[in-house]
Amino acid sequence: MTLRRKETLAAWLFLLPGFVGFAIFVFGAVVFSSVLSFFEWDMLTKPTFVGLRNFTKLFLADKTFHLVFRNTLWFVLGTVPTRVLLGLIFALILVRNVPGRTFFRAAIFLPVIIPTVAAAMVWRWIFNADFGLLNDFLYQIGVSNLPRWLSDPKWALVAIVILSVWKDVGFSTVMFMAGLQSIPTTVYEAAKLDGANAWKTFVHITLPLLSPTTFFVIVINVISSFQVFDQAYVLTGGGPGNATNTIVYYIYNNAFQWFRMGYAAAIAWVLFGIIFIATFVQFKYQRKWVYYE
Amino acid sequence: MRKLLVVLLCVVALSMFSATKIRFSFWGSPAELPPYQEIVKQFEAENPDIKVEIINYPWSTYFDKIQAMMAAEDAPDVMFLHTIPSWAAKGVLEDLTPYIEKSNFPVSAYNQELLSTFMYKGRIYGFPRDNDTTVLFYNKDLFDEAGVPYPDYSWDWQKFLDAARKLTKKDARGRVIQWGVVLERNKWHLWIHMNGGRIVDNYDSPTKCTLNERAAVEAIQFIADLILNYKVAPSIAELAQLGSSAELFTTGRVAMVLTNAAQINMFLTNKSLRFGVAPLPYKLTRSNTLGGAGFVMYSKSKNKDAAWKFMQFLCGPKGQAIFAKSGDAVPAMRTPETVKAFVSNPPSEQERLIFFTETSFGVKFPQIPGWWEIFEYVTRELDYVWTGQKSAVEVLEYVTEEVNKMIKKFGTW
Repeated sequence: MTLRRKETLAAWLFLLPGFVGFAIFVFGAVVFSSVLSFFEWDMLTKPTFVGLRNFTKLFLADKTFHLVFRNTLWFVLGTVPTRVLLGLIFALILVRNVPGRTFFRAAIFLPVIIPTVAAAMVWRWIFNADFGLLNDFLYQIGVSNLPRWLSDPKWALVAIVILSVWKDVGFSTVMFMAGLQSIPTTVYEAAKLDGANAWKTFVHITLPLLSPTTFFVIVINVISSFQVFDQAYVLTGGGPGNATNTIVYYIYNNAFQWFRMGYAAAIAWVLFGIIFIATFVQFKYQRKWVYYE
Repeated sequence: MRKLLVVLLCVVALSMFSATKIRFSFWGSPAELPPYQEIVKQFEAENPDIKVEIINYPWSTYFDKIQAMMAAEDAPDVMFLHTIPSWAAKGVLEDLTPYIEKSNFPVSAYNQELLSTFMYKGRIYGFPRDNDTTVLFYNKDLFDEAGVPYPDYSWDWQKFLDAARKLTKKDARGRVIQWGVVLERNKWHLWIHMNGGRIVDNYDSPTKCTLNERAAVEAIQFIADLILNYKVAPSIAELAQLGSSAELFTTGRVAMVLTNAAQINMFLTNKSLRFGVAPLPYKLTRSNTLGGAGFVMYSKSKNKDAAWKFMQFLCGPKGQAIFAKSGDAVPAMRTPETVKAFVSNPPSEQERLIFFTETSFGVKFPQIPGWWEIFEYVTRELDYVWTGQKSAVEVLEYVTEEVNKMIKKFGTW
């Protein structure tokens, strides 16, 4: 065997475990779920082929799906802009040499690495309507009609949004900080020489040069927000009523509570479609506002 | 020395091959393990040729795991399950009727109404472990402090409400610091039954939902009033943040709780808590919960004889007495031994006997496919009543319509 062949073989051997894992647990599962979405299957009796019935039911008849879809959409609209905006603001502050910079950096990033379940347990107390920190604060500053947060269908989703923003804003912040630091100082110097003020520099230099990062942050946030599950699972169980029920939660219920594997697979594929379209549209329109050097 | 070792190894190997191994699965927290371990230990001592392997998962993942094992045709030989007919309909459970006849198993000692929930097409597919009987637990110190007489059989809803109001305390900001009573989210049907209402027209073969009838609407409105108007009970949706109903009672933040015997062990963890057991208040009739999970045999088990031997122990007087002795399970099989084992537990024998009286008022759940999905759906929609978003009439009207559709969709067994 020549050295070249030996090396090729070694490379394949090294790749094999990962590849097998991928083939079985990702690719295999994807193929399986796509086939499953045309069947009715409870894991016990034989699957029955139902054609497109899972999908027609989903789009035309299932009111709960429409509701969880709307909830998820509100969640995305509530979290993504907030995370991006707050992340940018935090990054702009923390990239400077402000006092306590290291502390705040850690404080903002810490929630990202805390397991959601643990964080949600703490937020459960914070959101407590009578004795929670949040309402106590609101009471101290004179709010009279205190929201009952998790037990009020009108506020429960807002509470989940707040938790999710707090939890993941650190990720956006870190991305923006990296983006800001990669903008060459020469550009700023040139702007300064031309007499641009801080606002103009920000709008005409920082924002455009940061746009690839912004684009990345938005895309990642949209994708992950559509998949919201654990916050609602721990904090509210999807309730009160269906107020915080989301698409992934609904997939989980269908698959592992009611054992409707086919239907759950169909919803999963619809969710994939939704995320695909959302991401595709963003890629299509990025040319209008994203600048690459 | 070496010879000895070889002999020893042979003996070990032989005993491993000669013993039949069966697998036994159930859900539950570590605290619930002891009676199961005790049963397995005693059974193995009596039957040295059978080894029982315990498979224990928490409730939250138990059913995914069992269902996956069934899909792989490798489920445990004896399993703890609920909603037996829905599993039997799928052909995964062994029909136990012939076994019962062959070995004269004392099936008549079981609560027959409860046993009927383990039947499918007139055949028996399993045995209940216990009955989920609800009683009214009350905190004696809080009652004494408020000068309220202890609850007894004379308590109707009015007396119950009056007491709850006297037992509720607020702080200067109007926040409740001590609740009169705590209600559990999945017990709404109990109140409907107490008020003479029904969930469906016929509990053995339901054809339509009757939740929009007056008795049911009144009962649901009464629960909502306890929370929203009289403010004597914490919001059901808030319970998750406050802690479970049993935790609230254990820590003395609530004077009364309607729950089952399984919680007593938690109450006992607070040494200074003086609590009593009382019957449930009544409205039009006395009513209680009837139901519970139980033990079944896997239809594809490879060791059915050994599994049946184990089931006879587990579900017979001995096993039932061991569960009863733990004090947190009202025995489903009533024999002198099981009753004695259950009542000789705290708080007192006399109070323990109330569980048996209350069990006789039990009303089972409607026996239809998809009942748990229907139940979950109704429970979810009722959140809108408990939070004051919608009235009981409004919700029960559309819920009835929806449940009727579900009954039709799921069909009959």
